[in-house]
Amino acid sequence: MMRRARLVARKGVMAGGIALLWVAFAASVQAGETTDRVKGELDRVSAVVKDPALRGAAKEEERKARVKEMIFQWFDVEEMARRSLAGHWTKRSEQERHDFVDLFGGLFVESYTRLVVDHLADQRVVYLSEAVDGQVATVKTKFLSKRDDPTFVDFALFRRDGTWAAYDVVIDDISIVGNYRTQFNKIIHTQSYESLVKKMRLKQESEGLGTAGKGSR
Amino acid sequence: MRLRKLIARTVLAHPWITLISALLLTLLSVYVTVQRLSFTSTRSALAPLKGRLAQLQEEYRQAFGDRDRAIIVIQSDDQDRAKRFAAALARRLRAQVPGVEEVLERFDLKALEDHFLLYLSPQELVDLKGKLQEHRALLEELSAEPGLNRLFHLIQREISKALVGHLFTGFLEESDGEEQRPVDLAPLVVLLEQLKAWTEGPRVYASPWSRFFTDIDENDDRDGYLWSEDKRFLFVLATVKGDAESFIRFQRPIEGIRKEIRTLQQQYPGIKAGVTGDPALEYDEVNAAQRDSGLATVISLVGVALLVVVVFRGILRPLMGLIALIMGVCWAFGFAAITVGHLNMLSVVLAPMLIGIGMDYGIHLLARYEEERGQGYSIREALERAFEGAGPGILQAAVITSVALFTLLLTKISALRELGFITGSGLLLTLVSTFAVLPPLLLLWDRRKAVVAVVPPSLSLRPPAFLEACYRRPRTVLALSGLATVVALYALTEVGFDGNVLRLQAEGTESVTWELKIIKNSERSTSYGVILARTLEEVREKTLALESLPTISKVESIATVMPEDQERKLPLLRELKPVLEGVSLEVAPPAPVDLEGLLDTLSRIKAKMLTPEEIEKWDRKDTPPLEMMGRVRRLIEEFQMLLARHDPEEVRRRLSTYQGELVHDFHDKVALLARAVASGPVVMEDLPRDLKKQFIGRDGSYLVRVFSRQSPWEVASQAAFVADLRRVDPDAIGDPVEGHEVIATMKRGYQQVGIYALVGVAILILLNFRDLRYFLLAKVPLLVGAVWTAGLMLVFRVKFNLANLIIIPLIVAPGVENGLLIVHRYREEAESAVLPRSIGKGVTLSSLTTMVGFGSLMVAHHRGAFSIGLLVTLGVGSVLAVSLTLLPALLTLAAKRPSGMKEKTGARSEGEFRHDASS
Repeated sequence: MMRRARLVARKGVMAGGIALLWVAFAASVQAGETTDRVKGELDRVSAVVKDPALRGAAKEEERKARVKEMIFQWFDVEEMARRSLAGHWTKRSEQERHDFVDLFGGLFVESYTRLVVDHLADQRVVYLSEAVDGQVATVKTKFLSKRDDPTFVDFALFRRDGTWAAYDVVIDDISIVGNYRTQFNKIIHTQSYESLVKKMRLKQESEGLGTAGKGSR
Repeated sequence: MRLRKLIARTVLAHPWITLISALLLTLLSVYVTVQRLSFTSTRSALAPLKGRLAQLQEEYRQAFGDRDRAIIVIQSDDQDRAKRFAAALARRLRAQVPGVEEVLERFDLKALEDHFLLYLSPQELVDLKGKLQEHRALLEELSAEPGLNRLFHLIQREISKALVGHLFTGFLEESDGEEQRPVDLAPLVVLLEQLKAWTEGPRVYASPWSRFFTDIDENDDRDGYLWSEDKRFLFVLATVKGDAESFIRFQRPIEGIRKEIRTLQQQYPGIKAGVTGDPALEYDEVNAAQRDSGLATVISLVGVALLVVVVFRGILRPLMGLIALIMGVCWAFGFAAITVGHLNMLSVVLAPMLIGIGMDYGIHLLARYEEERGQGYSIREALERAFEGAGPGILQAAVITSVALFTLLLTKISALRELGFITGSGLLLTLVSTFAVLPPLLLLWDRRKAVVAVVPPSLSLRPPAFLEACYRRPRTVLALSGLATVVALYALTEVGFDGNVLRLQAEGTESVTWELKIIKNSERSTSYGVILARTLEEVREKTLALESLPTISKVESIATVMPEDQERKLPLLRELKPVLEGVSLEVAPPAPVDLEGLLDTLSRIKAKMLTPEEIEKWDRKDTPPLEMMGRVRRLIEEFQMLLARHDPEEVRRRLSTYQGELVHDFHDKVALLARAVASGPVVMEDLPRDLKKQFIGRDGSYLVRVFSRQSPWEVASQAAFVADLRRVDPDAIGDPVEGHEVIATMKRGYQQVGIYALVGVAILILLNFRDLRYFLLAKVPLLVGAVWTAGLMLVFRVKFNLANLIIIPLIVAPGVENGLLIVHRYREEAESAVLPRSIGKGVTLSSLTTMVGFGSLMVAHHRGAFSIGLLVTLGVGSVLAVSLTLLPALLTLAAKRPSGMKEKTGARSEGEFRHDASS
């Protein structure tokens, strides 16, 4: 009972934050290449979510599929998976890494897609700054709710095949990849890599997901 | 010596000496009464028992002291206010209330503070470890860099972390069956409330950290205050000293406590408080009884006087009868003061009874005296003849009634024995006063001229019209009476017994109201079971056994304050040590308050709370903590508005003060946690003295207090509770055990009294008549009247209780008197089928005086006294009804001369008058 109440509480807080993560209209700032890239992706996703032709429960699956496709294209899930496993990545075989990327990609994209589809609200995004350091860059943004309550969201990018791909999002100082890394490390340490994979597969099955390969590169 | 000669040679020979002696005796009696007579409550009166239980109670008293403890109950939804009220009240009681010897509002648990973690369960310690690990960063960072800005920033980060964690990796914990730590918004709400309050102005600092570390500091019991389980009631114990000189011994301390409560309530509006416990219950009962019995005495005197004045159609003679009666009542009180020394709720019947029954003697004597004067005799001759004619009858009735009351001496309850002694001897004293005082008064001051051979209409020989039917249709009366008796016999099986002594008290009595409130809303009562143990291990074993029983709500002992499983918990404590290693125990100065930064952080927190529109659109299965999120939003918005209205510098200054308190407190809490983690086991020496005094006796025995789940005052639940107590320990004692035993003994005692009275009186009547037929006829009013009384009890919804059971010996007086006098006259009239009206008048008048005497108790607020008044009135009324209907009908049927109405008018024979007077 207690546990359920706590879960519910946590989900509630989550939901409030989720609404801030995506915006429809980006404020115009002096933008560089990386900012343009982020802005372009946000605009594309926003257009799908706000498309009147894709509204309603009947179109939900289609809407989700299109957003998922965009996220797969924008995020480098292999890089994210590698960074999430950190030191454990090198200890895995090629096949294990491949399987893990599939699993990880599917789960991440599912979570992120749900977040976008469910909670894209009328918000403004302010592009605060960008910092490019060789092959990596950070675009700092601020999402403002209708009441101007801010959530700071930083997009971490790296150059891949000449384009900037996202490999992390930092929401109010909390990195999504960092969060994965902490949790994965904890499970591998306390249990095993296999346990981690098993949990991820269970989640994948419960969500009815296929492999991450579909729609991705 | 014949009574006539005795009176002639004493009181009539020396009227002045007799009167002056009687007056002096009266004055002496009043003095002794005022000086020595006290009043005890029903509980105290019933308490003394004998046998094993009394021995155990005595041992307990020796070990733990016989202390009168009032319990002050404070009720408030705001626990901090309740504590402040308790502390302030305790100070005032110590300083300025005479009779309050000791006040205990909290135990000093300072010595146990460093051990507080040992009071958590092993699971709670494991949870605590998890929580500390999870908030390790917050603790470490805040201890290194304390301050308001830092604190809110860290909270904001915790919320973000939880948000991201839940969305992306929550499934990892869920599949493990682990509990996900929620973002508990309650501490944030407390902080925001304080932030807002301090922005508005300086105030008393209240620590918010207990909310943050709920798992480690949620139990306020550790601050030593005496709370009920649900924290709705806070108790303050006041040991009070009774004033032995005072008629109401707890008057000063209880009234003093109540006065202080009322004064303090003006400073703490909304707080409810009251006093209960033995001294308060006793004071309220005695106070009400004193008020009630005074009023009842006046009413009974006035009522009886009016009755007599109306019937005798004069003032002087009835007044003389009353003077004689009042002197007798004073002697009876003086005698009670010298011999027993106190009255109780049962002996509150003394005055109304003496007035109601004692007046009969004067009435009979006066009636006969008037009759003799009517015959033309001089005052002295008329008095002598009255004594000769009516004296023996009056003496006989008084002796028989006293014997019935003296049967109470044969019971095992001291309160009943005292009652029997006081009332029995009191009645004899009123008889003596009637015989000794009334004749000299008449001799010296009766100036009314004798009316020769004029029979007043009230003494005419025809019975009243409605009674004629009884004589004309005796079989009908018999049949109807038989039916009524059968119905009443059925009712006899339905009449219940209510042994709850609280219900004897007046409606709305403060101490009772609070006691009932405690019982209803908490697991406690001021009445609890007591079990003694020789070792701590035995305490634990008995506690375990008691806690498994259905009738028991709570068990308290010294073991309650000694942590359990210390051997198991200490290693768990050690595991917390590494978690706190990174937490700085150095007191670092906080950074200046940055209002802009604070606003920014709060805005970021607010952004994560659902808005009302989002709440409306919420269509998920799960329910977020909408109310808390709304509160957080509102509080932040209110703070933002406050900042816009107030001078920023002033706000910064106020918040800096708040920050100082907060940081200082934080360091204290962290230091306490560190000390607790490093502490060793709790040993007996660590426990505070006050606490040990409560639970460890002078002989080293341990006290286990046991509280009943149901009311310990109700007979049924009390019996079940006592049975369970005895299952664990046959030597269990305490108020409920004592009450249970007293009730059983009382019921047995009254049964014995009933039998003794019936047998004793029967023997006396039999000796008097020496004829079985007359004997049986004379017993009819008592026996049938008693059955009819049971029927009326059902009609009036009266149950027997510990007070009104006194009716058993009391109803014997009118029952015997009526039967005796009517059958005597019947025999004297040579079994005439019709008795003269005068006999009915005499019976009616004496019954009415008794009813007025006891009926006066119905003005009492004390429900026990009221029920005595009502029940005795019903009982005497029933006896009277039987005496005037059924008995004449039976006599008519049994008559040797059933020749119809005997027409007899004009002057009566001497014999007729003689027996009229004795009626």
